[in-house]
Amino acid sequence: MALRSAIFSLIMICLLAGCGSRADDPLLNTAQSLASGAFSRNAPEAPRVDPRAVLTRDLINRAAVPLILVENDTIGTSSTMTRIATNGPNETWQGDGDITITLSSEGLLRATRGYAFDLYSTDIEAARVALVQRRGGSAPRVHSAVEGDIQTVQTGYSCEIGFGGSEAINIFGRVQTLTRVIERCTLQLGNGAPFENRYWVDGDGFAWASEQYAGPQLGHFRIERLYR
Amino acid sequence: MQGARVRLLRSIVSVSRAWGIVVFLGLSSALAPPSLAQDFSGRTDRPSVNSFGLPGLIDMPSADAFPDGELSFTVSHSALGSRGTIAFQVLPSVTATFRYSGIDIPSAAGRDILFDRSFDLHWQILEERGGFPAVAVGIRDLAGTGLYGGEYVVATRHFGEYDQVAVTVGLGWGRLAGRNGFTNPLGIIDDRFETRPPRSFGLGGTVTLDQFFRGDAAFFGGVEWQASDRLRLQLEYSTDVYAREGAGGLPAPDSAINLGATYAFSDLLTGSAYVLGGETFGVSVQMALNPNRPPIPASAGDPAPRPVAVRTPSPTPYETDWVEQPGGGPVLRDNFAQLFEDQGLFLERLTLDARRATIRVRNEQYNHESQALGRVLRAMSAALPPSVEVFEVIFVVEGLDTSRVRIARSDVELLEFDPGGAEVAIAVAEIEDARTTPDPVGLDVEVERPRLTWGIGPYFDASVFDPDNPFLFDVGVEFSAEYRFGNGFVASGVVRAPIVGTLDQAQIVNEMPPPNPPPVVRSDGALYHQESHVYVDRLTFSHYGRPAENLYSRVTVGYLERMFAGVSGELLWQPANSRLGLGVELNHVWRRDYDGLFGVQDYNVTSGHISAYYSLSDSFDLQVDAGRYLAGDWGSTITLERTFDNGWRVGAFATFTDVSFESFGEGSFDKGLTLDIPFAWFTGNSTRASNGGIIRPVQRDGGARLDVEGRLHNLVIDYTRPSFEETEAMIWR
Repeated sequence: MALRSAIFSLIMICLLAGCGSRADDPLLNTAQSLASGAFSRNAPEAPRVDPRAVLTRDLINRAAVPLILVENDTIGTSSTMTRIATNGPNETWQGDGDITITLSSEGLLRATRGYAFDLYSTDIEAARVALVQRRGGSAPRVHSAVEGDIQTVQTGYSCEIGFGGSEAINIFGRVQTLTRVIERCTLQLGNGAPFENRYWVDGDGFAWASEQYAGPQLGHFRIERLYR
Repeated sequence: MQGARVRLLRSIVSVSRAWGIVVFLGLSSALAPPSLAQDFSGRTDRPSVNSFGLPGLIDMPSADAFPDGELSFTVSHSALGSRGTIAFQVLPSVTATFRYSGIDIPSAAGRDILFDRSFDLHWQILEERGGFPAVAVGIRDLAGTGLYGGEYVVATRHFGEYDQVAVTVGLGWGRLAGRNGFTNPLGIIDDRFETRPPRSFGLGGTVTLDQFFRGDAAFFGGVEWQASDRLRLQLEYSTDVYAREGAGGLPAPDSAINLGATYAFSDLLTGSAYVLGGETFGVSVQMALNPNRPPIPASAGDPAPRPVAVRTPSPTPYETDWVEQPGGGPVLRDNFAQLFEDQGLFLERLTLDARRATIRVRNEQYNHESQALGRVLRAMSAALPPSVEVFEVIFVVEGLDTSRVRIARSDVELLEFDPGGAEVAIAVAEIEDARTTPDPVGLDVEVERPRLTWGIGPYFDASVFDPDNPFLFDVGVEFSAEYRFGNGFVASGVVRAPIVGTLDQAQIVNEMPPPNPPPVVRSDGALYHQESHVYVDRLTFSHYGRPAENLYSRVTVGYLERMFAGVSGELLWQPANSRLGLGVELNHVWRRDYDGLFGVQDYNVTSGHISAYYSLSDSFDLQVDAGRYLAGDWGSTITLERTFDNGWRVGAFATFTDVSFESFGEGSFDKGLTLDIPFAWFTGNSTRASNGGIIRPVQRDGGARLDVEGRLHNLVIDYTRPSFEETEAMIWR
């Protein structure tokens, strides 16, 4: 009897949800993802931990690997990330399995992946040079995204980089005196709003902390270098 | 790197230690579901839609146009009839529609309800600009029975600080000149414009050129007021008197004044309510989808890709002795299996020497082919020793090698984060037929895919706009299985058991059989639903092959489709860089028994086509087929599709054969709409699944084609250069 009811249950499951050796029945998978998406929209998938509440300098030092903290108030995410790849001056950092951000070796935002409204790439050469050479002035910048019918859309900005005064910045107990740099950008080409990036850099032009704009939907990322 | 021997290592995940620490610390917080709901509030620039599903007021047209590429579905209902309209903005200025209506009056064929199908064209000749109004010209019921036959020239201009008032004035002919008509002003050009000849016969389907813009004309017009962000109010003077409906006993309006209100629930969904002639109440609902405006960014739900693994620069040449390393093949195979995990990419074969690697991959997930290419290239960068400088990717479909995409590893490393890197990567890639260059000789790793795959699950089968029924469906259980023998030989089958449905109610016999009809090959399709219980949908044995460079072949034997069994052979010439493909198909088939089991009927036919496939531009594909159809009729089919880079396809086709319009019967010739909508567009999760099909106003026997699985052009076209270029923006996603 038990066997029969088990077989019956199995058949019912097959009828309703499908089964078989193909894990990839596309119609079914899409239907399931739509359904699960509809139900899980309001329920967070995992208990969320605010890294700020848990992290201590002691923990960071024990990890002893390059580590950044990436926060985004616009979309409400906060995650520590480790470096998973280096491509020339570009370093890619991964938070969990699904998201990465790429920074230049000075800490300037180059790209995001897995954030839905991704910043595909940027041209930030002028800003990099300005930071390293500690020289303010104008610096063009290009942001590239994919919109509409998968078209690459480039937005050009004209930016003014200004070096401000020194500030004592405390990153989880480690206090450094850093120079505040502000990059004010106005739209030059395409559609977009003006924005402002802020960096707190050391003598080598390395940004230990920054607030960087990634587009109208992602807003600003706040990035802190926890361990170099 | 120099000095140390380069070894193929099983662990390619160099970051595992660091990553483990993050997990250990428990500091990674879940990514909140991003807020994807776009801001749909505020005023929409989309024009209001009339009860015929076109830009307009209530019943009357306006000179507006939908945004380019928009597909809108409108359902309207009043006591004077129900209409379902699909409107597609084919070009920025041209709207085409297909409409199915049901009117509660007896039809000529003796049915209780008059079901009618009609096509319209609406062309905005001038946009509203510099104080001048927009001007449009349109033809209703272009090729139907003429029930809604009418033509118009119309002008619309917006007034007010926010363009909140739209005034429309137009001149109508035919049904749109039903009230206060006057002698056709076009009579100045030619006296023949002054009389509108009657329809010659009632089959419909033919373009009635001799009627357009002829007979009396009349003025119509109206005003629309944008009362709030979401609410619009309309007042119109209508010249449609619903004469045919009135004659059938329905309440044709006495007054010319119609009043309406339209409310935008969202950017996609609007609803309208209106009163025709002060007495007949009506409602309509419109939903708009625009391939150019996805609800969620492309591939938004995909996990971030593993970054390109860049080689450490070396002053001396990279070592190559790894080629001789014993057991190197299995190591590479395992590494690729790990890199492709959860990506719907499957390694079929890897051949490599010290400098060049050719990978054969099955892509079962990525609908943007360049995205699949980018992910394979990144996996190669992570798995292959540094001396390999040339990457070659061959996507395999049904065991067929498609194109060979060759790109320098240094370019992959260089272009990953370059602002123009996506376009450049595809531009510098060499794309040729897989057979043009031999594979490298050295290590050779093959992965055998599972031979047997099977599944049990629900199925849904639907038929829309049958002459007697707007919507018929079946729901049931489907068992499918596939066995791959290797070398391109595949056996596959589908058995279905319908549980509930209405497909058996489809129209079987036309009440007015046409004179000298062609053999019955499709029009009795409903018998296949009525006389079967559990049926064999398909059961075939096939071979797919690559007989020569740029050539693909297919042979299929067995129960090819629900209605025909036999043998089908096909040969396709499709170079990897060409916008042109040419194909030949030859079939000999028998009609299957209605019960869906293994018997066949006496009727058999040799059919076949020569086909030309041409990509006119990024936005339009043309296909021309010429040959012999299932009823033994000779002729040709023209299919024109508007295509989108994200995979949407919206098209129309028409078939003309030596079956005369009279003998064809209702509709005069075979024609219809084609629709293909990728699921990924809705969800943002990459999947190659799409939904679509053919919408036919009526299924008759002339111009019918065999519906065999695995036609070659569909299989291989996605991996030619034009397709990679269309999806190039996604290569680094």
